[in-house]
Amino acid sequence: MYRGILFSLLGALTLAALGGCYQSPDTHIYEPGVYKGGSDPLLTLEKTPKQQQRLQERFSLIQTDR
Amino acid sequence: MARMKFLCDAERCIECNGCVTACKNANEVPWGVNRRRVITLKDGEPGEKSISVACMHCTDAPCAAVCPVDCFYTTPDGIVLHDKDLCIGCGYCFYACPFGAPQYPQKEAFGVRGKMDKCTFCAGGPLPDNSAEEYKKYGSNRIAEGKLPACAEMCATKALLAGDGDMVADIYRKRITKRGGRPKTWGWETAYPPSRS
Amino acid sequence: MKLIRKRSQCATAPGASGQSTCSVSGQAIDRRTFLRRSGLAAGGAAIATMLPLTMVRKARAATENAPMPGVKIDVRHSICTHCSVGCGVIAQIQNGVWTGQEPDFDSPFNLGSHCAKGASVREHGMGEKRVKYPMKLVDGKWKRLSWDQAVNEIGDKILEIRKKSGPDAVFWCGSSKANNEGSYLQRKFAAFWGSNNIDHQARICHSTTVAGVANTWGYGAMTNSYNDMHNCKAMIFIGSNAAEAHPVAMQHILRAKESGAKMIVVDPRFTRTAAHADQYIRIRPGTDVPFTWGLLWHVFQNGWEDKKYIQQRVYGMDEIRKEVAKWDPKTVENVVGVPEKEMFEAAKTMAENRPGTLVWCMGGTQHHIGNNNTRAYCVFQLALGNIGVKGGGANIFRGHDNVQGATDVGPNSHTLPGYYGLSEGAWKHWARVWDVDYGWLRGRFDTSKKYDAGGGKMAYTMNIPGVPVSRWIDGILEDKSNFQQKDNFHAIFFQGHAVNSQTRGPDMVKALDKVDLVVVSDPFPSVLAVMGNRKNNTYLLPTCTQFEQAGSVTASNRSLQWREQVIDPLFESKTDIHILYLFAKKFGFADQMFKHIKVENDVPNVEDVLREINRGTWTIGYTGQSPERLKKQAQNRHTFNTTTLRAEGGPCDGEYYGLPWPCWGTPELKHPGTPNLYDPSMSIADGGLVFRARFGTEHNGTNLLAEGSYSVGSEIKDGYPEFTAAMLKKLGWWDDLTADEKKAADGKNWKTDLSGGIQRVAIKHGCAPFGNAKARCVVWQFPDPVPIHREPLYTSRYDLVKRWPTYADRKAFWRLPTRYMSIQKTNHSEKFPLIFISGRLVEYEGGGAETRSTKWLAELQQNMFVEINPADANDRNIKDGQQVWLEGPEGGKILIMAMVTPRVGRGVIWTPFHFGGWYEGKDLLDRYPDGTAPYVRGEACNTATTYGYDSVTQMQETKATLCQIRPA
Repeated sequence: MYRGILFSLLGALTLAALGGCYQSPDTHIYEPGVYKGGSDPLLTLEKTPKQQQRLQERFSLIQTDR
Repeated sequence: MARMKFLCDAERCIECNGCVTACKNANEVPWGVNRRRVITLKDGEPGEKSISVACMHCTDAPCAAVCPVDCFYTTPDGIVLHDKDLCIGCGYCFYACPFGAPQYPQKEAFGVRGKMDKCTFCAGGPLPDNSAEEYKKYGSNRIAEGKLPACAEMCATKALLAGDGDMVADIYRKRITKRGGRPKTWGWETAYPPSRS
Repeated sequence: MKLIRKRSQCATAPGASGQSTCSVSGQAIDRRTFLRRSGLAAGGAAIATMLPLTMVRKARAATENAPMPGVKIDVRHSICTHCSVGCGVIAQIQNGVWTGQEPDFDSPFNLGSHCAKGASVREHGMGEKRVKYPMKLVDGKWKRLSWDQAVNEIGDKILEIRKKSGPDAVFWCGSSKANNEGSYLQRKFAAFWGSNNIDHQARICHSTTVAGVANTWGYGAMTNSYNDMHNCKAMIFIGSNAAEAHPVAMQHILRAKESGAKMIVVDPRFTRTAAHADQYIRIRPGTDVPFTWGLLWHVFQNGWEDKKYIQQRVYGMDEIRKEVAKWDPKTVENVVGVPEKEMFEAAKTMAENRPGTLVWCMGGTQHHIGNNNTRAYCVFQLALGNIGVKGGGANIFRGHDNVQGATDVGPNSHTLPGYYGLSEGAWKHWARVWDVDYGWLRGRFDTSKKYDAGGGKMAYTMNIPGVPVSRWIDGILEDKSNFQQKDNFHAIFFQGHAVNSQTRGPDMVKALDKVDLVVVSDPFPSVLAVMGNRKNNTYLLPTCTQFEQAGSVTASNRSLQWREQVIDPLFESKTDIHILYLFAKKFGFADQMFKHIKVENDVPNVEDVLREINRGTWTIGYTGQSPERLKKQAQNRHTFNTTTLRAEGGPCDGEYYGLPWPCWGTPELKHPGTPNLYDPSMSIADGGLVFRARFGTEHNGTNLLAEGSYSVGSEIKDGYPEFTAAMLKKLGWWDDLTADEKKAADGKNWKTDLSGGIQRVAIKHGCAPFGNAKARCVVWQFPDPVPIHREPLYTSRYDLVKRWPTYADRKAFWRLPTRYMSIQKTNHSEKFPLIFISGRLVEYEGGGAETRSTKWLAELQQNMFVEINPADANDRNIKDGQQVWLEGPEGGKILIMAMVTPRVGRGVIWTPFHFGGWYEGKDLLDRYPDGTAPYVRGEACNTATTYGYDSVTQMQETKATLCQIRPA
């Protein structure tokens, strides 16, 4: 009688223990979260065509061999 | 919209460290923190080459991906910045970064990390542009002033290029054509994978 | 996504010790990792914890120099104060504080670029480690003084010495760091004081170049320019490491290389420049003549020389042929260590790719036969017809920012400004320019007795070169009876020179302990203030950097640029010329010395000083560069072409950038300057030139004037001598002079006519005022008329001494006994088997007092070290990063870190020379005044270097001596 309980307990334990060995074969890909920090006015500035042009002109100024 | 990139032309880099002190100068980076540094391969042997390295402002930046507090953001021009008020100095980004860019200035003893610091492409951080607070926390914001990173602007041999990726590639292609040989865009495959940029 | 773990690195504390003891496990690492140990990985954090208190204070101080939002920005334009490239600097000033530095894209020299040093110059505006007020040593403690006290105390002591020992008993040292006006006044000051005992660091930099090159073709300066190197088809660098010493020059060099120019680097060390070369040749130190003759052997063997050029423009090549014939490939391989194949390849490259340039620096000059080396290089270029052509030239890269200017018009013991020499005629010329009575000037000197001017020729000290800076220690230590002046030095006054760049450290300590008075006028205490064991009579005078004053500066290519004042003098600092004025006043000759120079609040007017230089310096054409013209160019620098350096349109149309000397005639003549020396393809008025007729019209019956070669537009279609009033009359050109010019010019020549009329008329007829002659390969006045090889005094190849011995000792040479044979007669190579050479690091400049006190630079190079080949290290059981003792054959020894690297060949070791503040294993920190010790200190390599001086100029022999290294 007790032996039956013991076996079933043991079986359950074994199952539980084996269950701990299970690992999903799928790769977990970590998705970047959404930015939670303060706002940066640069983000708006950068989108203006004038700013884009300024940076392009600046690059030409640096890299020109004249 | 421009996509800001760094490129170091190893054929021109002479390891003069001009970029390193230009960065220190522009951003008042304290002793012990190096947002940029020059790495030399085969030092003292034929084939010696130097490359200037800093945050490459990657497409799909790995640092941003691993950050547990999500303090990273990317500007429309592709510059990767972060909020130091949010940063907990955990160091994950340092392990994730393929270029070893993140730095941790330390205020106290016993290994407590300070807030992460890294190259901002001279674009400051999430505070009013060119305010005293922004300068103190992140350094200068040359981009907002219509300028480019001080390191590349002052490079002794114009080896270090910074700017719109297409314009950078143009200059570099011209040089390659002139001198022959194969392009060696060090770090670009990692930072700006073609499939994603 | 890949997560890559970074290997963490060993970290070291900066500052406190300066000499790290961190050891690194066997991995191959680069120099930066080795030296810096801070960096991207864990280092940064570790370092911050160990920051000494001063660093924390410093960090706070730095924020005071942060940009001030909303505050008006003043923009000032200056020139970098480190090397001779002449990079433009743009400074942003807010409320008088230097808060920003921007790239100077408009500068045709640097196009915005900077090296580590140039990109850090804003730190000069902070100056935490500066000497802040006058100080003196009282019983070993530094005590603050007022300026009045300092000037009076020093002045009284010096006047007392003068009374007892005569005017020659003080050694004055000027500086290549001073601007043209400052360095000129340093020389003038010594003249009015009454002594030629004034010199500066050009002596130990390129003095052998200046003497060798000027005696070959007229002027001792870089013939072309960094920018002109764009035109090269080949470039050979001998003893020049441009990538570290002149980094921005590499922009031009690499541009040339990208356009197809072949690049050859010749050096005992595989330098960062060599890393960019097409061919690298490793020579044994001290074998420059055999190497050059070895190249020329192949040139002659294959008939590659430019025969027409030699026939028209070169004297004495046949005598060279005889000497070169001795240097067959086998002999060259034995002496130099380079196999025939490599020599042939290099010679062929230079022969097949013309025009080609030859660049040399300290690797070639710092030898006891330095003048032979420099002349051999010149001869090589003459043989190939490479001088006087675009893309060719002898491109001698000078060191300090104004070493060219200080050489031209500054403190040199052997000449008055403008290479006029010390003859009576020279003194009379300058007395006229200064508007003082020659008799009065002469009365300032010791005229009580004549002394041996060399070889038994007796003269007054006014006409004998003074003691050169390389030998001031002997001026103190030498037995008085052997010294060709009244008494030894009892006082030394140094304004801007680092003594740790000079050889024989232990002797220097002896000299410092013996001399009565030491005065250091410098922004930083410099090694001079801490070396030795002085307890009293040592003064520090806080002196401004060049960013605290305006003035002109001459770059290596002879271009003058105007510096605006960026900030007010920091702390209690005063400018060089301000300090000189105070002492001139104290000594009672200020009114005479500043007769035509406006002085306001004891500060002489720099523009007036430059105008005086313009009025007197006819020899080298420093006459056309008025302050007004220089300032106009500075404002229009974007209009200059970056290859030709010529302005295209705009207000300076047709001028060359910086009016490179010779800029003939008066400023009103508007000569554009001379971009490339001796280039006859342009008219003289347009910047063309021919070789100077400096050595007479014939020698031993052979014509020395050019034959059938002349510059474009010359009315004399052949060679001609230098212009004099008599010659103008003979040519029938006398009446081209105005009445006023005639009055000034009569009886004078192109060098002494203060009206400039003779120069103007010569140029009007297309002629060079200095004549049109041949360059000479044989300098018959020199100890070795044809450059020959002599083994270094301390040679590693003692077996070669018998065949190539040094000179006999000399009794009186620049006033001092000078030893050669008596040193070489002992073989030191067994006990000291390693050849010891030194050189530059990109982060530091000169003695490093300034750059090691700049935190952004100091962080990058924290340890004095020695490069040693793996084989030599293994032989001595030395591991990378280990502390070692390096000992020289004269007993000096230094405790430094070993860097094991194949960069140096077997049997050769290399150290940087910028370190100081340690002496024979001991940190001298406690000898510095509080808060003035540089962030990084280390052993000065010259503590272990040895005796040896050039046979013409007294250049020190630091690029070939011996040492031994053992684990500490």
